[in-house]
Amino acid sequence: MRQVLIADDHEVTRRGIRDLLRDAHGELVMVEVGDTEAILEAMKDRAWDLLILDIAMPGPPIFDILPAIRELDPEVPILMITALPEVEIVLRVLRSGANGVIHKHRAANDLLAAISQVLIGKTYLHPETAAEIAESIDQEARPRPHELLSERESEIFRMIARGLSIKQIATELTLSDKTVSTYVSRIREKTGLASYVEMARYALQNGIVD
Amino acid sequence: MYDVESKPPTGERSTRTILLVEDEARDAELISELIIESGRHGDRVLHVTSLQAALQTMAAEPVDLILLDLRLPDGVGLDCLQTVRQESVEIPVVVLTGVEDEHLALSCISGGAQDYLTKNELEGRTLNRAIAYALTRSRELSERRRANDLQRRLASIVEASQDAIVSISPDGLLMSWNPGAERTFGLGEVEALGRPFADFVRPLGADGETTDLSLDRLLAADQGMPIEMMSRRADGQRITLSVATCHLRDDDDRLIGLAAICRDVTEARRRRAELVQRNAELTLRDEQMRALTQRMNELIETERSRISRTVHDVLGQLLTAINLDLHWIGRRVPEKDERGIAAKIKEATELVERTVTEVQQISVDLRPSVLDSLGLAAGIRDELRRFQKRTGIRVDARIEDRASIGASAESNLFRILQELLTNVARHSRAARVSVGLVLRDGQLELQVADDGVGFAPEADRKLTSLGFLGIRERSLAIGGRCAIESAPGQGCRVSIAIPVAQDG
Repeated sequence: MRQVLIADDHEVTRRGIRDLLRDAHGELVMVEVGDTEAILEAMKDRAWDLLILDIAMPGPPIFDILPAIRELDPEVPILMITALPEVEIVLRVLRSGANGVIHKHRAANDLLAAISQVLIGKTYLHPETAAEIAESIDQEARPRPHELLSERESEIFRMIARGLSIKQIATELTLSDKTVSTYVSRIREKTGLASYVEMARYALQNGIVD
Repeated sequence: MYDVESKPPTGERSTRTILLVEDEARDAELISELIIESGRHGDRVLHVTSLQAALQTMAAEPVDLILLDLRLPDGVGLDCLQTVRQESVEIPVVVLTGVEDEHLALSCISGGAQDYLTKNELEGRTLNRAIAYALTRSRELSERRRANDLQRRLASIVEASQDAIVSISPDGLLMSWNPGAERTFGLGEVEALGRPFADFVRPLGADGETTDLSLDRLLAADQGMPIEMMSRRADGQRITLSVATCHLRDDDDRLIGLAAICRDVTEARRRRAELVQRNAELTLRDEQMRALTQRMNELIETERSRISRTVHDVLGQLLTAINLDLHWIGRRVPEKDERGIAAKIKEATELVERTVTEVQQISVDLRPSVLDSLGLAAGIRDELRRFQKRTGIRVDARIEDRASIGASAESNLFRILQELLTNVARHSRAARVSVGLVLRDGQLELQVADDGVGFAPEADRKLTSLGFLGIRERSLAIGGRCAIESAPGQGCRVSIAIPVAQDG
């Protein structure tokens, strides 16, 4: 990991994150921005190894920015950092393309662990957050695994369920094989569906494909 | 004139009871026989021999006529008649006198007797004719008395009435004018009589304009609804009258005029107008209060939102920074930590984390940020999760994320939901609550139903509590309808329906 973008409108938070990362990873290129539009600017500037993004920042809503980031770079690991306690927000950023969410008050202890999870393509949620998500208020409303997928991930998930190979998908979406593979492993991670067969069956059962 | 023997007037009792007061047995026998033989079939003669006995009989039975001898053991002459008349003036009396006692007989007639008969001239025809005439005259007299009574009574009513009661000739001229009319129009009888009624009143149209009262209109307005008319009193004051009219007809059903009853309703109309005005003012005030409440609610939301954000942003971020710094220090504590710095830092970190949780709680309690960032449905889902976790009451939810009703309405609906959930937690003793936010028939409907103890909506004070009042007001403010159903032991179901603007 060389290049990290830190987006937070609070200088004190950025400094804390910076210090943590420097302690753990030594010298890194760390660029800091304070609003959501600046994130998109920075995305065009270079290829990043990791994005650490605050959820509540000045500028257009992060929920709109995340899909745009994913358009520019489908693979870069995105770790959201937030002081907002609400579960709905966690669900929403995961659906918009983030790979993990960490609450700020846990950052000191858990940020490094979260970073290493998303860097290897896994989804990171604190166990308590995961438990809160599982706190079902309704059988139907409980987020089903595929609802955690971002739009691009859902698209690829449906193609896999229809039986397309990674190469076919890559051609169809004009992406590299490697990118599609990254998506697929992320889909596995989020849905807990290990094989293509399981994915296909799940998709059929949940009416994701006909 | 009619013949009593063959054609009794209708309505007369077929059996006549004649009281014969006569102490001489032979006379009595003769008279009784004459009546029975020559009189009508079925006549009854009650014979007594003293005034005392006569009075007792009169008190005990209905008597149609009295034949009274003027020489009795307990009374003589005019006294006899007066004694009987004291008992009843209604029953006709025919006196029986001795020979050529004309003077006494005439005194009796002026004393109230219907007729007199001299005993020595008695024969069936004379006797019965006298009886028949006496009965007829007495009946006519009492009818006239009754008619006079009735007329007097009616006249008293007309005299005493506060309403103006006037009669009008068929050509529209005033024929009578009661004291009520004098008071109402401020004009005496002498000045009013003979003038056209139309000089005094003008019918009031629906448009508030008055017109001339035509004779046709007056004659046509018979016994219908009272007509509203304007009038100007002699002193110039304008008054409003409610005028009812009816036709007056003679025995041959010819129109001989009209009666008009005019009630001064100026004060009543003024009060009604005042009432209408006051109602309009109250309605307006109501609307203004509602708008003000709505505005206050919006201000409160804005303020809560601002405080929530400030608390969250400023305190939350600073605490996060402190936490990160503590962590940084912690990693730099020497291996040999003789002074227990690491343990203290750990304690401080935990304190900061607890504080962060508190701050988050305060922030969410003030106003969940989700409401602003993700909208109502997400806000409700989060609220329900917190509710289920806090109260242990199981929540079944169906929250659709389809319609937007605007930020202000969403705030109101969210606060309504919170109030309803508070009610469920506090009063219902429910084990489950079902919450729905669904789009149906162009309306966004919020439904909260619990399986708790319920209540009787019409009897329970709950419905008039400030909580429910707040819910109703908030519903009204966002153009919604609020329905509450409950019964003891049946749980409670509240639904709020808000019209959703159809976008393109």
